[in-house]
Amino acid sequence: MTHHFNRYHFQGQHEGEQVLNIIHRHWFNILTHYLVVFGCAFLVFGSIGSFPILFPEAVTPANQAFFLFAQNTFLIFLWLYGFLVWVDYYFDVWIITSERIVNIEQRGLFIRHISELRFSRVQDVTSSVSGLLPTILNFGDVYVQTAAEEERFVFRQVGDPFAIKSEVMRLSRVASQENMRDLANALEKE
Amino acid sequence: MRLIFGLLYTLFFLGCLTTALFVVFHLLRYSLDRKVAVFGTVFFLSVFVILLFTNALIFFTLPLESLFPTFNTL
Repeated sequence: MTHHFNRYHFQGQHEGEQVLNIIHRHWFNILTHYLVVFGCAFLVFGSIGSFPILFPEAVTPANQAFFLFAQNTFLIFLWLYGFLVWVDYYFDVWIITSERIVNIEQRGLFIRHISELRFSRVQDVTSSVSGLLPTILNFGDVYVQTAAEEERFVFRQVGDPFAIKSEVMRLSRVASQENMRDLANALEKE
Repeated sequence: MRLIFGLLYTLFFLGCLTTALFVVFHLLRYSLDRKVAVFGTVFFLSVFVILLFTNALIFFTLPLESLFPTFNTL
């Protein structure tokens, strides 16, 4: 079975391990951060046109150069902030492979947590969508109860949590059946 | 006075460059898809370089003496 995620590769991927799904937080989550960025950008560009009209006496050649410098500096800050928000969003990812779930949490620039959960350790999966906007836009949380050291694996604010829950349950069932088959083969050999 | 502003601007410039380098490092190192990594880096750097370059140009043409006349007496 071919998957269009085959072109994706992550650090620590095993040989033969297939990437089945790459999940990021829902776009609404990053939109709330970018509203601030867009709002500030609108103010900056708006001030370029409106300042000479509102404060004509303040518009001298020296002041114009200074305001241009201030606006340009503010744009640099906005651009850097926008990409820092993007890095925090885009590199927060859950990777579902043929063998496990890998959770990569990027917190800012210098903190990165990676945890994984093999499907054979999955005990129960719950999805949760609560609130008006999450219901309309279909995003929420998926909780994976595990038999591992980390008892609960959480997919936070992800799109279509019901589908993710179904996928994890299916892969967990397949892993259980494979384990049973391996156990039966091992017992037969004895 | 120009020296002080020049030093402050140098600090600001280096800070922006350092932050940009960290962003590029993350884009190239941790992206799962190579095409996204390259596109993101090119997009980010192209706008950033233009902004920083114009910022430096504007700074060096700023008439600091007329903007901050009180500093001239120091």
